[in-house]
Amino acid sequence: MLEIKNVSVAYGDKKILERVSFSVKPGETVSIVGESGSGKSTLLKAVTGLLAEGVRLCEGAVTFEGMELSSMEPDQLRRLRGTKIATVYQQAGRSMDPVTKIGSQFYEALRTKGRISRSESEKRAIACMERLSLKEPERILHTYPVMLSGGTNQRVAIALAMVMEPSLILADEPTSALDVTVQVEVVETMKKLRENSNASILMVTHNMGVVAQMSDLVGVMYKGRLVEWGGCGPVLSRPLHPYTRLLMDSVLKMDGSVPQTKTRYREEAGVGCPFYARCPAVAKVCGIRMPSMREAPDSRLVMCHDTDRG
Amino acid sequence: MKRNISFVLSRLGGLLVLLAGVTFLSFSLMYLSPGDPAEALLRAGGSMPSQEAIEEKREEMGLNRPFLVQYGSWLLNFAKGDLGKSMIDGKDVTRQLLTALKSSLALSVLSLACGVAVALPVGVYAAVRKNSMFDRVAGFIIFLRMSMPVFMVGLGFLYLFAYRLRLVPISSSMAGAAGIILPVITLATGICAKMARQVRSMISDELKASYVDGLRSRGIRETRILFAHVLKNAMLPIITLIALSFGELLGGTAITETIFSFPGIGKLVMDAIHLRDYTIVQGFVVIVAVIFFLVYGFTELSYGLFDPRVRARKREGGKG
Repeated sequence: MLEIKNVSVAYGDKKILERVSFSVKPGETVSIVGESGSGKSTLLKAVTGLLAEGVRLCEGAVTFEGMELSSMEPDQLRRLRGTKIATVYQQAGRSMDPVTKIGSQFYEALRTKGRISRSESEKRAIACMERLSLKEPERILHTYPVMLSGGTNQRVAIALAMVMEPSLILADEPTSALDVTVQVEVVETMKKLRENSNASILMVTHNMGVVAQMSDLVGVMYKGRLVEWGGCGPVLSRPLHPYTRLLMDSVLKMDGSVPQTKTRYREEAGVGCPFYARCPAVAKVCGIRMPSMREAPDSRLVMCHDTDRG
Repeated sequence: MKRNISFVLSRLGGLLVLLAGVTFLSFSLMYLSPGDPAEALLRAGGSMPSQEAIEEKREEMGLNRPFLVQYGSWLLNFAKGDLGKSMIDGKDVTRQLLTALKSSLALSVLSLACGVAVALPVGVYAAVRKNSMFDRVAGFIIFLRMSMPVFMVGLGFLYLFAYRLRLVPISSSMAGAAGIILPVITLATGICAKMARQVRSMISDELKASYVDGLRSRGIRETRILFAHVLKNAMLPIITLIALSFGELLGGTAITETIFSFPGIGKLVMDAIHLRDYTIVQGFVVIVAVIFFLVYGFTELSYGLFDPRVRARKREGGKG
């Protein structure tokens, strides 16, 4: 349904994404994990066509339901965003206009999809919030985002994405800006969203707990490249790429920090594995040649020289 | 509603404190200034008054009473709307000030309206089409106008339109209704330049806000995002900007009025200062203080009307 093929995105000369390819099938939930700066948020923006100023898609194609998004007219793409592709932001509460009542924002969003009456829009908004177990949905509709707590705002924003009945929901770190207790609430909401809609979800996050609880497939990104891809269970329980292992270790440590490894310098810049500098299991070939994406057991894909050796 | 009433009441209390301060200071102005008003008044006739005549006049004007008594009686008269008589020609100051104020208000309101009417669309469009040809040209013109002092612009317009092209008379006071045109253009271009620049930077900041991304992700049209959301969010600073400019105009039209001999309050007070006509200066200070206060008070009151964030803060107990 969503196919990302060889996508590279650059800011000036600097590549933010480098030849990333994967696809999301209908109803699937795909999580992309990786540390800050790995390009995962940019990936989502490349899908919606809302890349920041100066950032451009320089290679590859994004195809959604058979349409190539990267070559679409801006207005066509805009209509698609209103109807078929919804986004939940990291600070979703801030994705709502602070000085417009939430009910009006639901109405406005629904109207981009087609004619709808105010009362009908309220009905659908309330139904949506109820399905996500939000309390007092009527009251919420008549307040402004500034008057709600961060967690409630986040969940309202998820409802706002869901009410459009999109076929694809993009979620950009939906939990990471929240307190731990509120995170649990939002994760529950995300899970309900998944159960209650037929939409595919493409989520980027560094919260492994969220990944484990709701994804079908996981992609691991490092420095703008997809380094490992596969089913959620296998990737999390038996990571193949050294970077994924490092990520999983950091989860076990509970503090969420990626363990520091010795940094080594490569003799020639621009060649070899992007993870060379931090890899704990580096071999001679890693500093010379770029590994390619290889197939591994359990229909997984790994970008590491080490997979060949076993 | 209850909160609004208590807000107004607390502001009225503030007004009283402010008035006490301003009247006291402006009254002291006369008391502390060098020279004897009685002597000045008598000398205005052109003759050298005798010492007895000055003494007599001082007694008549009540200048021999203690300071606080003088202040008290002045305040009492002021409360009744009587600001005293001019020290130069003995005319009623209240009437003089109000007539001049009317002209000045007309000048200020008209200049502000013209300035804002141009600055808002220019600023907004320049922000939306940043770095476009329009943005650059507008930026250049704004820069040009802002780097010119008001007397230069005023004299330039006078030279061009009144002297060279003879479209309007040189002195505004002689021109009737048409006399307001050049002063308005002079002031309005200044306001417009300053405001267009500020509106541009305000709107371009607002366009970077995350709710704009959110609205885009929901497929809302760019024009709707701009008019229904961005402008609404920017309303508060824009209103503040307009109010500030209005206040600035009231106190700052003196040079323009003098250049065009426009019979406004600025020119009146400039002339009064030259002639040491303290009663007029006093009255001016008090009236302008009250107007400033009213403008800012209403501005603050209107915040809650436009912005739920302000209402929410008030509900939390009026902090920040």
